[in-house]
Amino acid sequence: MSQRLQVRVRQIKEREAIRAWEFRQRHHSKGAWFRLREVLVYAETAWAIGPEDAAVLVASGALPLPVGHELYPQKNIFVLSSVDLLALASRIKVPMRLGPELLGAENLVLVHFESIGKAKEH
Amino acid sequence: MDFRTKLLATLRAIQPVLDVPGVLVAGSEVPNLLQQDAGSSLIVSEDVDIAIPIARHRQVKRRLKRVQDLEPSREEPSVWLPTKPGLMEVNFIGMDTEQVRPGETFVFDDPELPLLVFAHLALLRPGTPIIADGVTVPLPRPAGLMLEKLVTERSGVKGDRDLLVVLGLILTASADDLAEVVQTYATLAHELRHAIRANLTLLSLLEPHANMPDPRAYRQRVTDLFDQLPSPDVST
Repeated sequence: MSQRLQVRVRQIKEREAIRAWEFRQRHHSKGAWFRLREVLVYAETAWAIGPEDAAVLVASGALPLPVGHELYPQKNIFVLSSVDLLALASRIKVPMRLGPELLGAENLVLVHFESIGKAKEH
Repeated sequence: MDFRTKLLATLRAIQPVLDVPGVLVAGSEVPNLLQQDAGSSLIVSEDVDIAIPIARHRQVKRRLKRVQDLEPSREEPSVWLPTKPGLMEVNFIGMDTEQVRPGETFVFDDPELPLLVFAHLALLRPGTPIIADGVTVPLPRPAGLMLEKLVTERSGVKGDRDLLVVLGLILTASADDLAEVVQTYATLAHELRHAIRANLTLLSLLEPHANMPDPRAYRQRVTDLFDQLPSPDVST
């Protein structure tokens, strides 16, 4: 009688097994997408910047977030205040979604929501 | 006939079942019902989920005999189909509130009313019923429903819409509801906590969908909740 329900139970258990597998992978390569989203969730805005501005940031001691270097091709992801962002002439705002503009940027600056306060360490 | 009228007519038709203590309207219709005067402006599938505590199964079966204008599907008797226009499908699902098989999804077999018992429905707690157009609708507390939706594995358009349902709940939740989310989250297994955080990050980056709250406009609300849910990898 409840054969359909049994099939659904099997499907749910399969999805749960995948979730468990993903959980065990969270500190490995497959976890990089979660770590990227975890960084993005705090950002109110995202900006693509040119390599010269990125070099200036690095020279001034700004540290790119590790998750940008876990992707290929690697990208530099910086967290700046909205005031510091204004100094970067090459900035172009990109939509806050995992779209081509954001994922294609080699150098990315994130500005956190004000409620989050100072840049979080990830 | 508009969606709200159809939804409330369906709930009126199954009122004898809704009156059984512990039975709850669950699923995507809840944010619709929580809107001002059960406004029901969100587009979701045309069915309503009714969560039955398995301890109340026998009582619910008796009450089903009093339900008119709906009848069980021959293919799947846990789904009741309208026999006249103006009603929507009713999907009876099981809730293991007494933790007979904790953390497990299973079939509660019965020739008349088999139930798919979803493990995470055990997170639901009865909330304050609403009364709309004379129908008393038992609803779960928003915190449990939010967490249940965030731990349940989904994919594709249905998955996106379920996350937007969570957003709808965040937008109508009180400070106490959100505090309850944080409190209950802390009691969950690490894997479930990770799933909740992962789904919130997806919600934060979602594209808008027709007739659902625009996630771009409320990203900060999602971030504020996410920020209160510590990573399971951080010892507290």
